[in-house]
Amino acid sequence: MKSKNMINVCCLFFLAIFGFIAFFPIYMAVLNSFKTQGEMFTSVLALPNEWTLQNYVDTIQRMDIFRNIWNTVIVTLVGQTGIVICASLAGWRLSRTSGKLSSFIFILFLSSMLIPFNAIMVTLAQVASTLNLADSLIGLGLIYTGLGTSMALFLYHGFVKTVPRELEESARIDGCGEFQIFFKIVFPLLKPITATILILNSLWIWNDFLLPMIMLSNVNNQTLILAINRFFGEFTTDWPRVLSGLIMTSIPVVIFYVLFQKNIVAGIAEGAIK
Amino acid sequence: MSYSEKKRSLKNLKYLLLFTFPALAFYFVFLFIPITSAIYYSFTDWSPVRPDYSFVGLNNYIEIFTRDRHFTNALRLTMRFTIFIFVLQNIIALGLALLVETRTKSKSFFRTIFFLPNMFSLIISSLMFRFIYTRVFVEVSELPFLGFFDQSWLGDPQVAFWSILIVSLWNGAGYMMIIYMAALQSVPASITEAAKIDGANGFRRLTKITLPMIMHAITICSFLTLIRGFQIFDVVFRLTGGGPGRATQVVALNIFEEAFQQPLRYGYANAKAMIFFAVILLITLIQTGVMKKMEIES
Amino acid sequence: MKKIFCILLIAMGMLVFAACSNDGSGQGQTPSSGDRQQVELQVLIGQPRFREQYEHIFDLFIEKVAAEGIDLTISLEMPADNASAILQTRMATNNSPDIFNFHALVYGPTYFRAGWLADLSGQSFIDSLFPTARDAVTVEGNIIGLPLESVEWGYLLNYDIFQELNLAIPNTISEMRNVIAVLEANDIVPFQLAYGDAWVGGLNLPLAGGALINTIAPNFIEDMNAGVGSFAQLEAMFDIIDLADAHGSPRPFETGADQAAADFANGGAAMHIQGPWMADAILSVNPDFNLLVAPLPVTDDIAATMINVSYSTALGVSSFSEHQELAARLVNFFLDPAHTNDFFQSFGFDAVSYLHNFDSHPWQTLASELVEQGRAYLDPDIPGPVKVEFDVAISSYVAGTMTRAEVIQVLDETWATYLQYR
Repeated sequence: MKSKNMINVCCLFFLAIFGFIAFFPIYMAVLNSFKTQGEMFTSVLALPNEWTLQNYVDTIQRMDIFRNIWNTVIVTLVGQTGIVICASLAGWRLSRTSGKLSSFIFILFLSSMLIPFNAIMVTLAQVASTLNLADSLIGLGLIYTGLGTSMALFLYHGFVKTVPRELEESARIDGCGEFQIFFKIVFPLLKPITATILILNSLWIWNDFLLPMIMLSNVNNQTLILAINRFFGEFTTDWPRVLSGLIMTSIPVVIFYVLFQKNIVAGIAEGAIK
Repeated sequence: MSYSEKKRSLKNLKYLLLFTFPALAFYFVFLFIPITSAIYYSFTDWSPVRPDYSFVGLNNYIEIFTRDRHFTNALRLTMRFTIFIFVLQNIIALGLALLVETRTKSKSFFRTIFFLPNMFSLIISSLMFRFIYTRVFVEVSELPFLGFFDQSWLGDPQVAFWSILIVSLWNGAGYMMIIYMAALQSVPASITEAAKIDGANGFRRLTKITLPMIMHAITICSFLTLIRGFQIFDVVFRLTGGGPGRATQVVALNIFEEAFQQPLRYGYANAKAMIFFAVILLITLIQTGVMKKMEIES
Repeated sequence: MKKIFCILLIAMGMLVFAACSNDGSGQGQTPSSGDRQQVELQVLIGQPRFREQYEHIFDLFIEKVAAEGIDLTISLEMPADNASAILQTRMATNNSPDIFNFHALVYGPTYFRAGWLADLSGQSFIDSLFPTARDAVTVEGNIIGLPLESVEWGYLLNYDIFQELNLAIPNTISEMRNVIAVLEANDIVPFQLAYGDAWVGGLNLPLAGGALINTIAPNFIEDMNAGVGSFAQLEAMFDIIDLADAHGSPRPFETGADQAAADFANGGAAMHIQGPWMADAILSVNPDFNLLVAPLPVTDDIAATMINVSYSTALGVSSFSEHQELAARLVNFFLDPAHTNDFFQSFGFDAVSYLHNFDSHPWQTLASELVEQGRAYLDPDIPGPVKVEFDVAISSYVAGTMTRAEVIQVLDETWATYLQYR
């Protein structure tokens, strides 16, 4: 029994250390964002003598943070809508159809998951500008649709196999059209996997950096991540202000995390295993 | 084939095409065209500062491997980084998952803490750590016994490699931990209990029972860490900018520099991109090969 | 569920429609209300530190044209780093701003030949320009922009330290070594370093390299452009780089240009290889700072210790702009006789035009004197890609990952590639 206790204490000890490492940078960022620059210079580690909100006030004025959030929401919304529509339609039908063509199309999508973004970024920028999609939030959302559909389609395709065919068949016998069957019967049944896809894609699109950096140049079109990157460039020497920007930029995601933690965790596990 | 069967299969074909059309359209525009034109341009000397371009055959590829020290250095560095992140991330994530799984009441608390860093975007994580490396560690190093922290975290080429690795681990380990935890939970408690009764110690139980049972999670996490490790961009971009000099310039950053920072040689940049593609493809093929082999064994 | 799906579908359609119609209407030009013309100009200027000054000038201009019935809005984009890369990407993707800044000598000719810059030959500002300023923005007989920044520069001194220690400003590299010895004997760091921003180290090319090009290697540029030269001709410039590096401030790679300016202003070091464009940043931290621009000694030849005269930032009008005329007027406004003295003084830029009659800054006295004596040279015409490569290579060099020979080799290769694509 003694050794079991020892192991237990050891486990707790390691957990505490790792917990400290995981939390320390966040704690430091939050702490120093409430200091004046002068106070940060005297000590980074100590609690501030006087908590100031001035950095946050300045940052909100300077960074136009609500506009950036709105921009990111637009991109995410367009991308998500596109991905869910394209992938669910195709995923269901491909899963239900046998034959060479069907499996060829499926493999086409599957193999595109091998293409790393960095390999196509140069030409993708070119395509986007030819189509007048560069520097447009909706354009960026459409690009996310193009890049994200394959993975979602794969998840839908796998999930549809677990959904019984009988309901569709009987609806067909009742004379329902194919689209009607899909919208009325199939899509509602796909709800769990749709939720997973939405969550995984939200995290991806919301936190993505390189693609928006290449696509969006107008200051009014910045996503949140682009805005904070830029903000850092403008105020490199004013750390408390930069940190307040980092904290505010992260708040939406942390709220999302608190609300949907269970779904996020389940979604990651599910998305990975398939 | 009877007439009605033919009709039905025709109808099926129609609906198949109809339902896959939107996905295929997006696929064509944003994946097919970019990748095929990237392959095409990689054999040209296409440049944005000139109106026309010509075919140069394999010249771009030859130049990359014979003369472009920056790219080959970046390739070597990225591979080294990938190996490190692959080993460390998996060990840490699995370790965390095992540790967290020993808890009963505080399980969800620790899971929340360890997964939290993954919610921060890599850019934000990097900026936070920039602050830690340049400001916090300076002060930490003045504390007793912590002199080790007095390093040029971003300025020394050797140390900067580890600085990048630390940020990547900090951000990414929680994600892999989630996958491992899900796998561990699917291991039936009865099997480990039985082994315990048989007198197998903790380490034996881990290597003989638990690990084989979560092999699929291990392969998935290996795959993810390899692929993501090789594609690393954001952390390096914001933490060191590839510096000092090009000491921490990874492949993705090298391509980015060639294409967007000195946009002189798009054709050449595309050739680099295709090599990048080939490496990712290779990793994937090896991975699927290994996975298949293990599935057969188990 | 079907409802939700339909709503999503409709939303998607609407958004796509909005995207297309947005593109159709082009950038800015919205239907005019009444007689008033509504125009939006997109301006891309990579100088965030001057945001307030630019916004002030634009506000005045907006007021001016408002009286003529034009409702002008100006969307000002100020990228913090990589401004030229952002510009080039936007150009390559047919997404040109109406007005942008560029380095007159480094990028001017390239941009003009690529067809990006509108010819401003007919504009009134040209008549008032100094001849050197006019030359700096003239390419093949065309005026490609309005020169904003002209700098007579070398490196920066904390002159109070020199006076306190009774130190003369060094004229040769040997004298510099003595100065360093005295400074270190008095526990003063000789050089403020700022490797955190690679371009600061890159300044050694126009400074040390430029001095050598104008003394021991007069044919360097022609040789390089003919494909027969080598940076080995300029190897002597590494001496001063090594010297500064060996006697520099701590944690140089974690110090960026802004941080270095602040540290320098607070007396962190006696010298800083940096241009007077940081004067504002330094004086805002310490208004009493006694700043002096001095010529950088490169060799033991006093003739090589000179001031660099450069025309850097210029404002150009995009040849793709739909509102070229108005954009050109806005550019012209910077040399508007009624305002231009205020404008240039607010930036802290030197005079470029006969219209300018303000005193030059106190820290420029020595530099101006030397320019009058002829101890100065025009900024050498080194291609942009080579400059960019130099920044990175010199960074690697001081980090110890590249040797002199490797730096020379990589610079030669970059120049050769540049020639291939010119």
